[in-house]
Amino acid sequence: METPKPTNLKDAVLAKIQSHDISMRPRIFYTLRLVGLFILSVAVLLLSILIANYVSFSIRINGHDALLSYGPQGFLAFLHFFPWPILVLDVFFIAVLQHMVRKFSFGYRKPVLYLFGILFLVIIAAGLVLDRETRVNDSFYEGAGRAHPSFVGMFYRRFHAPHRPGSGVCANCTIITIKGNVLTAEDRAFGTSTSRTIVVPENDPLLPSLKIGDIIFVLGREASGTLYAFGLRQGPPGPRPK
Amino acid sequence: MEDSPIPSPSSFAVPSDETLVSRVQAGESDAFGALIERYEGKLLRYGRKFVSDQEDIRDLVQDAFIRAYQNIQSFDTSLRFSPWMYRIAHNVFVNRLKQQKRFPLTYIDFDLFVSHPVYEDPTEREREQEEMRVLIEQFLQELSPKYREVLVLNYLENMAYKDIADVLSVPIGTVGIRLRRAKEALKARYIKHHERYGNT
Repeated sequence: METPKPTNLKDAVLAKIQSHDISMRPRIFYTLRLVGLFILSVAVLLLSILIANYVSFSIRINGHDALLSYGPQGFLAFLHFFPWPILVLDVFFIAVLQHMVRKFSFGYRKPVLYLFGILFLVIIAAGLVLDRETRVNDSFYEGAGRAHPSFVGMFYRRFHAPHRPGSGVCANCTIITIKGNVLTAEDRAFGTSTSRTIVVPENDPLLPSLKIGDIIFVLGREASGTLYAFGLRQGPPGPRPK
Repeated sequence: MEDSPIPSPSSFAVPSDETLVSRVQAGESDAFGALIERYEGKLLRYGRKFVSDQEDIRDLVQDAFIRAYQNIQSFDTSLRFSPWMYRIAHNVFVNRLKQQKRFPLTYIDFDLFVSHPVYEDPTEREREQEEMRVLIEQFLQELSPKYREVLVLNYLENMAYKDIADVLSVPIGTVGIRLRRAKEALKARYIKHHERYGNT
């Protein structure tokens, strides 16, 4: 004979408990889940910092910092050369991290934009410190210059390429010849180079001290294969010395 | 004749929800029955504001209690049980509304994006309690679920903003701004209704 089904809600639930149809999940399940979420959040945080560090490294190694000293034109060029895809990827990971942090009570109590803003600032700052204050990137970048670079070396090669003629920029520009205020120079990176003819303003303060082999940074206007420089800057710092 | 010992006042004390949860966590499943007795009526009333089918509500509340029992080891007894239980029930009701496509599956809620200044005034709530109850009974179903839930929790379940924030997993400021908008929407509906039908 079948046992009558309880009609009372309390009895129905207690009957399920007593018949072991339902059971409590053990505390260790929640501890492990919390630890898992924490580890995953830390992993996403570290990945975001690493990506932010690549944004900074890409700007530094291509000398694009120097563009900001050229006034509004330089600023526009800086925006043009900014590694937007890497930043977008970082923003995506920060959004994922923000979503994960909202699983904790201290997370959902904060408005979305505030939490995102705090994470964004912390991650960008940590990325800048990692790139500008340590030699992590520089060590890997040096490996990229070897004849047979490792996988990481190949990865780092992608951050640095010569600027194409027509771009208005010669970043890692090594002077080959000097004739008055006309220079020929090469924008070099990992065995590839582009040759450029550069006309420097006669009153540029750097011009008298230039010599063959110097590395300079140039932003200018391109016409008929010649780069008419708005001005010269010292070359990009390149990898930080050991 | 020997006098029977006088029971201490503590033996008459009604155990708190959190004490009952501790006992359930220790394996005393009957204590869960006491929790069901305390919350059954409240959750059925809360569910009625979301789901219209009575039998459905009963099943959903039962489902909420089952989930609460399964997850009771995750409850921290130093916190209040009530928001935790409502949160589980809320999730069960919202999932049902989503199944019925009566709750937006994914929506960007700009109320969550920035901080909204919030001032909780219990005297104001007391003053307008009756008026709001009448408006809620009359026009609640015309509001979107996100406004419905804050009104019900605040005016019918008498929850503080902080507890509502924990039930809905949103910032306290969001509770404040939703409640303000919900009240404005209710009042606007009342005025519209009054203009159309007079005092009926």
